[in-house]
Order: sequence, then C-alpha cells, then structure tokens
Amino acid sequence: MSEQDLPAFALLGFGTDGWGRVLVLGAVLTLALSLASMTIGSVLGALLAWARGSRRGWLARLATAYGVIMRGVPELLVVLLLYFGAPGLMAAVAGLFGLPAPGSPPAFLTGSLAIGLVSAAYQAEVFRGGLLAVPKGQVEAALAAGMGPWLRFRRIVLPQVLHHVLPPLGNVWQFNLKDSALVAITGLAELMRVSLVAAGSTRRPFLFFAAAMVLYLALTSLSSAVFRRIEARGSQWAGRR
Amino acid sequence: MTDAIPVLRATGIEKSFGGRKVLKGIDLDAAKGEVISILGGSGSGKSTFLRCLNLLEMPDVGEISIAGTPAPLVRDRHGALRVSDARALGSMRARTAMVFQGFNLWSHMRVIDNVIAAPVHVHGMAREEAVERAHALLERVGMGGFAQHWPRQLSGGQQQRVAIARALATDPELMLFDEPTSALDPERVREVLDLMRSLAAEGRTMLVVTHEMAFARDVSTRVVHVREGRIESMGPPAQMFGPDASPAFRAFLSA
Ligand SMILES: Nc1ncnc2c1ncn2[C@@H]1O[C@H](COP(=O)(O)OP(=O)(O)O)[C@@H](O)[C@H]1O
Ligand SMILES: [Mg+2]
Repeated sequence: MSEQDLPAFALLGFGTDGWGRVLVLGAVLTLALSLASMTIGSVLGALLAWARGSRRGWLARLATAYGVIMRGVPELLVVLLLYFGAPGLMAAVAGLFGLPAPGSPPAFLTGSLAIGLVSAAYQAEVFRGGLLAVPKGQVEAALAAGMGPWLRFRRIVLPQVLHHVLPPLGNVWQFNLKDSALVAITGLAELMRVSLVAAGSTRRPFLFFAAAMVLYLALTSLSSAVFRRIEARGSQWAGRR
Repeated sequence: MTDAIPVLRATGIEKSFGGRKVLKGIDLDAAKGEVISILGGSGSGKSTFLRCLNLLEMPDVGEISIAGTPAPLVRDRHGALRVSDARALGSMRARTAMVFQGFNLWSHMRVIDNVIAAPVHVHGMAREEAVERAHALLERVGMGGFAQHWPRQLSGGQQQRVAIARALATDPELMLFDEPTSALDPERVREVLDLMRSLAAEGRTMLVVTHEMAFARDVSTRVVHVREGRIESMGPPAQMFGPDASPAFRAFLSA
C-alpha cells in the first residue's frame, strides 16, 4: 500500500507509517529556535535601545543605521547571508590567527543568530519606546530621593518599561516564531522543513501543510496566552487597557 | 545663634541654558526652621535655582552646602562643574527632599510603597519600621485610608499630599517645594497649603517656590523676590509686603 492511499490519521499518527513524531519534534525545534533568536534579539535590542539614547553621537548613529539595515532587507537574505557567509568568515578570522579553518557552524546557530539579528532591530524600537514612556518627572523624583543609577533602573524605570514593552514584545515574538520558518532553507529540521519533507515524500502536501498550520497556530496562540497572563499580572497599577 | 551652621548655603549660583544666562549669581542661606518663599515672574529662574540645590540641574558656577557638608563638585579641565563623588551626591540628595508641581508619584507603586521606597532602599530602614512610619505619615497628611491605592486613583490634591508624606518619610533636613499647588484645582489648593503650614509650624526648613501670596505673607519667615536670574530683594514678609518694599517687587505684586 503506497503512502498516498494511507488514511490521514495514520500519516499524521505516531505509528510506523506516521509522521507525527517528526512533526512534533519539528515544532519543538521551531520553539527552541524562536526562543534562542528572541533572546539574542532581546539582549542586542536592549543594547541598541540604550545606544540610541547615548550622548555619544557615533554610537547613536550606529544603532540607528543597524535598525535601518535590518528592517530594510528581507529576513530570508539575512538567513542566507549568515548560513553561507559564516563558514567563509570564520575561516578568514581563523586564518588571521594562523589557525585551520573550522567546519561550518551548525544550522541552528546561524539560524537563530540570523533571526535574532533581525528581531533585535524590532525589539530595539520597542525598548526605545518603553524607555521614552517613563515620565521624566518620576525619574527626577527618584534622583531627588537619592537613588543611584541601579536603584533607579531596578525600582522605577524597569517596572514601567516592562509594562510598556510587553504587548509589543508579544507581537515581535509572534513574527519571530513565523520568521523561524525561513531557516528551513538551510535544511534544519524545524517544523517548516519537516512538513516540506513529509509533503514531498508522501505526495500529500495539503495534509502536511495543514498539519503544520495547526501546529504553528498552537504555538502562537499558546504563547500569546502566556504573554497576556504576564501582562495582566504586572499591570494592575495602570488600570484596564 | 548667628554663627550656627545654616541648613542651606548657596553661593554664587550661575546657570546658562544654550548660552542664555538664566541664573546670574544667587546667594541664599537658610537657617534651621526657616520657611523661605521664593516669588517671581514666570521664567525668572525660580525652578532652575531650586533644582540646582539638589543638583537636578548642574550649576555652571557656585557652591552649595547642606548643613555644613559641601556638595561634591569639582571643576573639570574646561572649568565646568561636575560631580566628584556619586555616593556623596546620593547622600546629599537623601538628606533633602523635593515636592514637585506635577507630584511625580511613582505610578507603578501603591501609595504605601511610594512612601517607603526611599527609607527602605536609600536609607536602609527595616521594612516593618518603614511601613509603620508610613502609615503614621499618611494619617498625618489625611491619606490614612489610601495606603493600598494606586496613584492614578487619587485626585491631584491627594497625590500631592502623598508626595509630601513621601518627602517626609526620610525626615529631610531641607524640603524644596516647586509650585506645589499650581497644578491643583482651586478647591484643592487649601488642603495642601494647610499641610504645608503645619510643616512650617513644626520647624521644618523649607524653600517654597509659590504664587500663593497669603502663604508667603502669613507662613514664611522670609520672602525672596527673584527677577531675571538674580535676587532682586528679600526680607521678612512684614517688610516685603509693607510700604518699604522694593519698587520692582511692588510692581510684581500688582501685576
Ligand atoms: N532644561 C532647560 N533647557 C533650556 N532652557 C531651560 C531649561 N529649564 C529652564 N529653562 C529656561 O530657563 C528660564 C528659567 O526657567 P525656570 O527656572 O523654569 O523659571 P521659573 O521657574 O521661574 O518660571 C526659562 O526661560 C526657561 O525657558
Ligand atoms: Mg518654575
């Protein structure tokens, strides 16, 4: 019996002919990839937001330029650039130190870095907005009370920034999750890639793309539920939004 | 008593913004228990002067000391003042308190947390003690029932009374008020002024930028008229509101 004749539940199931396990593992890898890139994006994004507000002009301009570039080119291009460009770059750097060229970096690493670099540009905007939304007078009240920089950040600025950035960060996360599908092009067995492979080898594209859709939707709606919970808990002081 | 150390000594304070001189050399001392009303037209430099005293603005020139401790300022190689010791700056600010026109309560903290924040995190007071004191202070400012409220749930007058409780929580040696009633609805002004009267009566040292002439005349020990970045005249209220006041101050009053 060819796979084209198998019933859908058998193809999607966890039996010998089923792709269920592969699809679920793909979804797990997609989640891991998204988490890694979101984290990279948060760290770099926070640094960029801080740099944008820096009094050193060149630093602020550098951060602005980064945003213009990363938001101005297709994400796919960044994924490809990193995946195919990294080995050459690493070899060149190794060569500088007289070391042998290392092998290709793993697709997960270049993939999460590529999506993370793009995510950072968007998150920088979000953090910048969050910082600007903290009323200047409240920071002055903290200064006047004798709070030092760390105390001011930890007690006054950060809680308010978090309140302002959580909803837009939820958006960035959703884009992040969907952009991770682009890493399929490097052969990494995340959800998009495994559904392409399953669709191709069983000749049942509609079935597997529909299954992938359901899994992506499950990931996005679950994570927005998580975001909503965190938001609701942290934002009592601002009243209902 | 004349040679007692003043709570505030400010000497030769000058400040420019973008090449325009806003403060042109202000000297002011405040003895313990003095209530000094600072009057003057809009844009004359009153707020800037007050903000120089706790270094929310960095003066270009001048010296400041709080109860004999000089502000930690040094000249850099371009001759500009800068902070020489961030810790000392923090402790200088911790010994003073400021009440703002716009209240500036921390909006993500409940009323009680606004009041205990500085005692606990800046002064290292035990939380239970700070909470107990905060409740007493909130009672005193007439906000006893509001400890668990959020700032956004309060009227302007209530917010300002909480802000005053917050300022009192660290038992400051000097209190700076920048137009504390100017953002309030007329019917709310009194509740804040009455509170400030009671602070004056208990011997708090206060510098109050205000447009409330009755407060300046009845409560302050001294009235200072600031005009175009200088102290144009000053004296006890009886003199400043009497027939011997300077023509410029009389013109200001009648404007
Ligand atoms: N941060 C600032 N930057 C530029 N100009 C300022 C700044 N703060 C105050 N000024 C200017 O300094 C002058 C004095 O302001 P201010 O001290 O606020 O006056 P007052 O409190 O007496 O109304 C005004 O002309 C004001 O525009
Ligand atoms: Mg002012």
